Amino acid sequence: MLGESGIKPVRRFRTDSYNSSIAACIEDLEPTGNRSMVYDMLDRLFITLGPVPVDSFLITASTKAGIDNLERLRHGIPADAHDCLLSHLSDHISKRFKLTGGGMHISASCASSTIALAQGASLIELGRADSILICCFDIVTEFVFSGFCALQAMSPVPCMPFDRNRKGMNIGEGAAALLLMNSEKAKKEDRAPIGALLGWAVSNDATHITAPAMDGSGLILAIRKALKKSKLPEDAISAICAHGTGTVYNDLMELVSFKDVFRERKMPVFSVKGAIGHTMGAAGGIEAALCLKGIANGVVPPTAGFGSPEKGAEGLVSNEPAMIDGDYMLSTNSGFGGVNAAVIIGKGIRS
Amino acid sequence: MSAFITGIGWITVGGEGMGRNADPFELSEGSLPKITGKKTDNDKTFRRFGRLDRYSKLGVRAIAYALQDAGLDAWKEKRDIGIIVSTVFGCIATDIDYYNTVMMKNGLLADPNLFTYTLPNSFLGHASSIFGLTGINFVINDKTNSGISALRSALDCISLVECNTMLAGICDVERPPDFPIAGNPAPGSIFVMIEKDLERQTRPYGRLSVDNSGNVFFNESEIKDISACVRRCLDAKT
Repeated sequence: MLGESGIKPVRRFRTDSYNSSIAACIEDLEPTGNRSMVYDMLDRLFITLGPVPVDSFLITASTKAGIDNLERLRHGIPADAHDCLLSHLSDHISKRFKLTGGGMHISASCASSTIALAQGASLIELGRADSILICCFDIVTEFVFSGFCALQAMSPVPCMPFDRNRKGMNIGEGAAALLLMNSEKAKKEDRAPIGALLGWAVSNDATHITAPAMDGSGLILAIRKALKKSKLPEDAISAICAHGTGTVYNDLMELVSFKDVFRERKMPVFSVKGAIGHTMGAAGGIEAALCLKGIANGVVPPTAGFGSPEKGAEGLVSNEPAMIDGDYMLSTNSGFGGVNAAVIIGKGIRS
Repeated sequence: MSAFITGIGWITVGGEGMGRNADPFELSEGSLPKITGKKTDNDKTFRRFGRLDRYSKLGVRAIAYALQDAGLDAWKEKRDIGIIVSTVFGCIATDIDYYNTVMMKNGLLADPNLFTYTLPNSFLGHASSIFGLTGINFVINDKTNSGISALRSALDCISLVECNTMLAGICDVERPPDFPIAGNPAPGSIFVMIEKDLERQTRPYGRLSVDNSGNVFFNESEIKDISACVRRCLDAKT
């Protein structure tokens, strides 16, 4: 909420060969024994999670969590190769909570956890599950860092989403866990709902695997489908948690999309990536959690790093927290493979 | 909830093909054949096929066969068709190839093209751009290559009207020989085209359905993996 950035010089690996040297790392995150660093992050996450019904269905989401063990193995350092398989991490979480309801791991680049939320909500709607644990995570590794640098996508300075002087993205690491329940299960478990997932949709640009469709057609399709699912009109949305990576093309594409759907409406649009970096497969889950908090408190976070608005961002994006008046927020993510995902989050359960 | 299977495509150790061509089908251990991007109806190859990693080539090729088998390969306007694929190893072989380029010269030679394919869903985007598919798509990282999770999720998407037409399948190349991972799923890619309604003049192979517990059935008989589903489809055709 202070608009500060956790994007700092990387100490985990050498960066002198790359065109950026910064990322949003959790400072003392470490591998334990032959296990990936991701276990350390998950252990910390689960301390605050509280009890999870054992009959919950588990959906995990990540892009490359565990890939640090591939790095270690290639350097001749002992490490468990199975951590490189995302289903293995899913198994670990299932055992951690003694879950009996089954599960699956979803991978869809930077939209992974948004799709996990959508799939979780779908399973509840279908009556296949009463309770779903969504768990998303990704870590900063040289593997990923070097790749985005090679693609010239990384910013040498903390990223500036929707700013006309933006220079690219910065990766970050993080994890989130969200427990979805139908209202009967929530009542039975005596859980007060924090909010509700009211609409969701996923689309593909069908244009290119790394560059977004500059007409925003894919994201527009996802937003319109999510709105239709929620049965809400466009003007019910009171704020947008954008993907806002800080790359030239992503941010432009999003502004085009939002304008197409919401026309000239002025409502807060924000990105948290200037503060916590782009947490890749975990981004959608973390951002959904922030949306829940935003709706509950009636205020959304500032866009750290934002200063001079890109054309179309005027009056929408701010580097100050913004008050919101309404019960519904839209959160969107887009990623490699042309994938787009949108979820609509509301204050509480509607009748 | 039920829908129709209208197309089948595969590349496995046993060969490659489509259901309606009466090509021999077998999913077994061994080495995959060379995967080409040559279209079957002319001499052209799929756009940018040569840039793809082997895992992506495998998946795109099998998707192409399934679309062709269903008569949906040609298009003028983008279509609301989704893709869900299940994989065990995903693109781990590409991950290794990419990281080898990072290890040379401390990252100076990191290969941006290879990095692009270190996401297991990249090929879904490639297939979507070749065939104009704008529907939902994602990867399920599974412990086995049964493909049931992909079939079930595709049926769920149809059931919730998220997409009326879905491709569901599996995709795995051979286990990297020098990587210490247990398990060795039969390499190959199989995709089936699933359609809610039969608005076109296409004869379906049969009906795919899912019950409330998530069990998947072909023509009301439970199936435990996608290869069994394909065999039953081919049997039903003859």
